[in-house]
Amino acid sequence: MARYLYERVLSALLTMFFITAILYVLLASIQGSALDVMGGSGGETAAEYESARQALGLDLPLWLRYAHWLRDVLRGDLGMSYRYGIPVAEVIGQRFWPSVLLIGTGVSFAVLLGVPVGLLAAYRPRSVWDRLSSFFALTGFAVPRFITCIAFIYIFSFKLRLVPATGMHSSGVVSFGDLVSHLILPASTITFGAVGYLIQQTRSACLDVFHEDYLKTARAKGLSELEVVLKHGLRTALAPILTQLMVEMPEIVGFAAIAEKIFGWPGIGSLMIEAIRNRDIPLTMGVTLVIATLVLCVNILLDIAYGLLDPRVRYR
Amino acid sequence: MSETLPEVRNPTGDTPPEVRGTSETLLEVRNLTVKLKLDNSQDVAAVDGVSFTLNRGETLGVVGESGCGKTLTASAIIGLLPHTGRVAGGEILFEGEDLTKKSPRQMREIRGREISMIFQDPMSSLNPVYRIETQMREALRAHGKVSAKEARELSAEMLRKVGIPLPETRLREYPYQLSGGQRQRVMIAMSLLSKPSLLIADEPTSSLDVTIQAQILELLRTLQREMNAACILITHDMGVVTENADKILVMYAGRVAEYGPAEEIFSRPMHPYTQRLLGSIPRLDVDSDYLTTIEGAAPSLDRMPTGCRFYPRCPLHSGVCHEQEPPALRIGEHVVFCRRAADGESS
Repeated sequence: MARYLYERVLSALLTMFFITAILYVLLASIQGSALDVMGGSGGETAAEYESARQALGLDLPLWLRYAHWLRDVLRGDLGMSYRYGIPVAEVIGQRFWPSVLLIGTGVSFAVLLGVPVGLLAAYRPRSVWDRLSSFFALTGFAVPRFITCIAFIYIFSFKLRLVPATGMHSSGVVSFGDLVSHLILPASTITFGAVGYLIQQTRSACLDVFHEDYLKTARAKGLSELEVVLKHGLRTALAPILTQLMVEMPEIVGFAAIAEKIFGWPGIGSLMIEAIRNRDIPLTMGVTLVIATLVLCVNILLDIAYGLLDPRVRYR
Repeated sequence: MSETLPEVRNPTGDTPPEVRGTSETLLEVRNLTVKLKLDNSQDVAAVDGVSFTLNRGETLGVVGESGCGKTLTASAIIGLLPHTGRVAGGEILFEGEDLTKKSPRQMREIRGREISMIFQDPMSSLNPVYRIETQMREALRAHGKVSAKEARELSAEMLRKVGIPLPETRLREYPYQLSGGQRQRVMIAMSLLSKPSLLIADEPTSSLDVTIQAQILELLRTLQREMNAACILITHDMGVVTENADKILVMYAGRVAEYGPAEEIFSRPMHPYTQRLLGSIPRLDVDSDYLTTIEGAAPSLDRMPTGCRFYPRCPLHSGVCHEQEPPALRIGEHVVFCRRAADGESS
């Protein structure tokens, strides 16, 4: 296990290096710098502009700028945000937990909904239930996600007036109920986007397992049908379902950024979009680093869980 | 079908040979019909009018090509038909009670306790994610409270009985750490934990090496005798049942072709299908370069021939064979469903 973790972390670090290097180059080559985007009073002289450029370090060659950034990161310093003028870590700190809450809720409900639905569909393939759930799953991943967001806002917020459309808190209100009512729409769009694949994957994984002889063995032992389906069927299918979740994770995080933007949710996804728009390189890099670390950590955790779920993998 | 036909009296006057084992009947299957719903919603009788009896401690060999209804018959007995199948007629009398009339709950009580089953592929019949111990404990706990310690002791003892060395170590292992032969031994141990009176073994050796096959068959024989359990041994290979079976049921296309005491079937097979099945066992005492094969293939469920279902492949068939159902010829316990055999006996 220790050796496995060591290898995983090492390869994760290597991945991070490439992600950040490529991103840095890409960001630096976007037209217009932070100075142009933020603008000044309009009356700056060329000399003033040049000194501001130097202050931000934008006059240095690209590779050197990346090297400085990397050096600082390794020292635990994410730099200062061009836009906000405060440390990047601080900006991210404010926006981090709302994102975790949003993605965590969305994914949890996708699992709670997708796994039972897929399991039932696999239990009676080609039944009405199976067809219905397939239809639902297909809709889930066929509808472009920003459309889901807009449709949800239109239906549940604008027409039915059930929940607020944007933000995280009503102004001046700090209550759990208020937070939940703001959370429902963005979280359910994430659930809706993720659940389709999960239903399909659960269905196919369970379908494979349901044909296995060890289910017959379990029945022949005299176990109840519920025990057979859950303890032998679903339990064995969990590993491939988990794989699906791992594959989906980066996509979910990417989509969450769009959802945050649309729903005005103050998370790191919407923060990243703002940062790119402002050509705020240190902030963009910081957010990317956090998201990438998070995705890689989740993947390592799921990988470990996979080993715990399937003993055949553990010893390989 | 067979019930309505007059019984042909034994013309030779031989007394039927005694069937081994006690005379106490454990299982009596009468006219069992299992219908399957096919993909095109057609309802077909995949098992059609099958009857046999099994006494305590006896072994019945059920022989036939794949798809002839052997496994369905067994599944009907243990109450594990696929959800497209149902018992459409007949009775399954186990200890005098009709299993076809039991509720699913009652059947669950019987499964694993009174009737156990083991399957063809030991590589896939144990759950890969649980330790052997967990799976064996489950079998014990399905039918009563057993402490973990007790379960471990009982399981280890049973593993020792089936010839697994270091049972305590094995209990801690996962199925993938065991060889195919060992896994089948574990399956046998697991199925015998609750001391069932009937063990159904569905092609238990078909996926094993030949040398292991013989060992497993011998093990089954020994344990069965020791525990006085009856056994239904399903196989497509006549060679497998030569040593183990007391009675043989030859099935073809969902029906009984021939049924009787093993010695009689082997020494005097009367159905052309049985004769050909026996002809396809390789023998050391006959010098031949060829193995007999049976021309053609068994009919599919939705295209059963009328009359005798074997006639398209039967070298002896006559015109009547595909117009009329074959009559039952009974000589003591030996029954054969073949017009030509009946003609031959009466002429």
